[in-house]
Amino acid sequence: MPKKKDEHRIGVFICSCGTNIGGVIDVRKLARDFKDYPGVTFTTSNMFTCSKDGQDKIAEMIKEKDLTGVVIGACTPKLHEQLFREILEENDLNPFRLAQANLREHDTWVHGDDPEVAYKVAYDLVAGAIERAKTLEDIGFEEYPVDKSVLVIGAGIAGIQSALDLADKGIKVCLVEKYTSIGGYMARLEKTFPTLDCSMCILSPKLSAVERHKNIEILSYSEVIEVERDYGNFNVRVKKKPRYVSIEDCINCGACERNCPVTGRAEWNLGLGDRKAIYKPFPQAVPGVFFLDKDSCTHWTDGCTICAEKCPRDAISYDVEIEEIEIKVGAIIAATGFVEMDIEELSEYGGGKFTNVLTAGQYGRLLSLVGPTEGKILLPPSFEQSPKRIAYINCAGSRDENHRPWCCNFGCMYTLRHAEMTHRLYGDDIDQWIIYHELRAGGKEYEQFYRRVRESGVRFVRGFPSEMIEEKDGSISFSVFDQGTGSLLRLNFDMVVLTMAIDPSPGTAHLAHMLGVDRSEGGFMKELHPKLEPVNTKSRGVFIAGACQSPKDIPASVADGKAAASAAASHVLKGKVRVQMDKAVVDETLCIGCGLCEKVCPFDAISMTVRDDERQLAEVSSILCTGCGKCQVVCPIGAIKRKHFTTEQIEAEVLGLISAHRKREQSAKTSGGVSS
Amino acid sequence: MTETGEKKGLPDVFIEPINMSELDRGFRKEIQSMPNGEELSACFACSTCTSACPVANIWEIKPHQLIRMIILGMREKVLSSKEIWLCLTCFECQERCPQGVRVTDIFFDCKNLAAEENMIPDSIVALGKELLEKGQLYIVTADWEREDLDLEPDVPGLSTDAVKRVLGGTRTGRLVKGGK
Repeated sequence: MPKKKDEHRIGVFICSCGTNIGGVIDVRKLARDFKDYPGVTFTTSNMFTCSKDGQDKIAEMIKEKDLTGVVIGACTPKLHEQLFREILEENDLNPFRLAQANLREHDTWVHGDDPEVAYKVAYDLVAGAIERAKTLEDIGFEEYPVDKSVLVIGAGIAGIQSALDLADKGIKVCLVEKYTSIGGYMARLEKTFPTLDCSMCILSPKLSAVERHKNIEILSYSEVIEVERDYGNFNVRVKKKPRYVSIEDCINCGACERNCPVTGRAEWNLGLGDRKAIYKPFPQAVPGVFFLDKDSCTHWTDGCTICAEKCPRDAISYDVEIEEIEIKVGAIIAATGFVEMDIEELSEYGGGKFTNVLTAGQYGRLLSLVGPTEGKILLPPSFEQSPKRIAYINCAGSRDENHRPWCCNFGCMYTLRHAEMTHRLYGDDIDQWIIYHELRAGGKEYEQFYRRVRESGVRFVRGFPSEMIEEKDGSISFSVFDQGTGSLLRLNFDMVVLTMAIDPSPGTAHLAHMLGVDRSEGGFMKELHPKLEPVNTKSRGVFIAGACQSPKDIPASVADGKAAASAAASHVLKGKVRVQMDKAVVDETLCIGCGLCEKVCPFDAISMTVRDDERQLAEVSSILCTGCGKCQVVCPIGAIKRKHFTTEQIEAEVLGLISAHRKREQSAKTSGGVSS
Repeated sequence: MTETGEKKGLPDVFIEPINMSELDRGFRKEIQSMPNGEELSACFACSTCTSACPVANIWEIKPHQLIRMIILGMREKVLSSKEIWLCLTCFECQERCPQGVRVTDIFFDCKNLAAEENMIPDSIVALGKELLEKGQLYIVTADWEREDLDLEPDVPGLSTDAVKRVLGGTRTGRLVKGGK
């Protein structure tokens, strides 16, 4: 039966929400008061509209009363709007025929102390929602194909885990890594807390698995330079920097490195010691071949070709250019990790000035059997003598409003790890002190590890150091007030290790911008919801994992990697993305092509395109549009409309609200009494 | 070890800092090797012991500070402190320690060490002397106490001679005779 155009049959459902709403206002009376409201066919109240009973009632009434719109007076639409929309859809009513009045957050939680006012506000809000429901239109969906492939940016443990999980599901993965080898920070570690198992022993099987997996393509020494949305997919440009050593031909003999006459700063060892211009950062590197660093090599200045001459396989060529490749993927996972804050920022701790003040990352490299000292603790710069006394200073730059206000999350634990490893190697030959303020050992079996380190004889002083100076013999002295003993101490150490504050990797800001991902305090990438959507972002099809979101240890990064893989898989495995069309639409008969909307759009969703009749008009990409409505506000002639929140619909709601208010005031005047 | 004692360049402070060279690194091990010291290092400075102590409010050095001092090696300061002798030995602290540190027992160990090194407060020495000379600390002097109860004036069977003789051969005897 065709419905008459102006005939409205609105159902009104008022929720008590336990006592949240019902404890303040009389929901039954409110439902009754709308019985004769124009356009309303049915009204009721429930204890919990979101419960099965409540859902069934809505479904039943849509059918029985042939409703044209549903008004629900309950909590914020953020919680149950999706559920209610699905109920409408299941009962053949367009899901966008729902108008929700937020009686809880906007009324009873605010006016809980004044039920009379709360009732009036509730009445007005519901009246507004009814007027809005009368203007709502059917809105459909559009679907776009999505490629069954994922780009993972950053091959640390989080990215590696994502890549492996995705590849095992049969999804093609392109793993892009900025450095010459995959592995990330975990590959730098000798042991991992709290179990002290060898880091490489547990990581290298994963490196090999990534290298051998037929669904994973590794692009090492490469960077993402451009990301473009192509409806459901992404077109990504990747810059492959030349490593000058052919991955196919190199046989790892090391002749090039042995004969190379020049050295550079060993980045892999975080600046401790030197490396040759042609080198392999660590034995288990993947790709497991050598790499020529153009910046330290002298071929381009003095024409040195020693390595190429010594190479038995002709694997080295100096004539390789930067290559740019384009790939198309259905989803992107960013797992770009972290770096230690620059030590030179901490001048109060002699950062960058005192030779024997190291970052914890550097100290970790000293402990590495394949590091600059082959696992021995030796004093820089000569690396000949072991220190007798070491102080670890926790929260160096962290939890400090002058530097990095956030907690680095894993600093306490790796400092304990360093102390325990040093104790096992040197026993009482090195006197170890940990200067800390609060010790955060919140993971599984972390507290037990902390106790073990205390029992190893490491001395803990609660306080922060001050007056740090370098003595003539290179040792470091500082004062610290120990809260434990209540005494001021003046201490002297041969070596001081700073548990550095943690920053996101350099380039995170640029990448986040390209991906359309927000950033949070400190520049870390921002999740969609801090608790419930930790790996999703506001950018559809873009996920984040690991320490690029906030500083995370290995277990948390692996969990993140797995979560992001799962989220990305559900995105691409559907093969298509369904987009609700409650977006901006352009009325081409009205658009004058002024371009104002294009300018204000924060999501680059609007572009000016030339039509068949050669007019240049605005065009909205519905996949990029988030429905923020800015364009609707600036359009000088109302040619662009944000569907589901058109100016008419907003006006209808506001007018409904005002007229309900006025009507009540008038009736109060005429009757002279208090009205509802 | 570099002496950091020179005041030059350091700010004026109200408290003299304790120099690292004054710390006895072996003190922690010394206490830890005694019968009650095994859990000493587990202390994480929560100060529960001090909260539990019924008398520490008037102490200059609180129970948790004594434990932390032992761990950092402030041997002299701990052994010469009056607080280890002021301990009531009620075991409230030890009972509550979340890390199982035997606080009260460790103070006993400290007292024994201090005694060995002749660092006993005079009042304690006087008690020892009393015990050694009279064989008991509390002597029933007012006869009426017993008379009121219809008891004979002397405690029947009380013999302090054996106590005096035994104590004379112990450390208490040695300390009282040879001590100050």
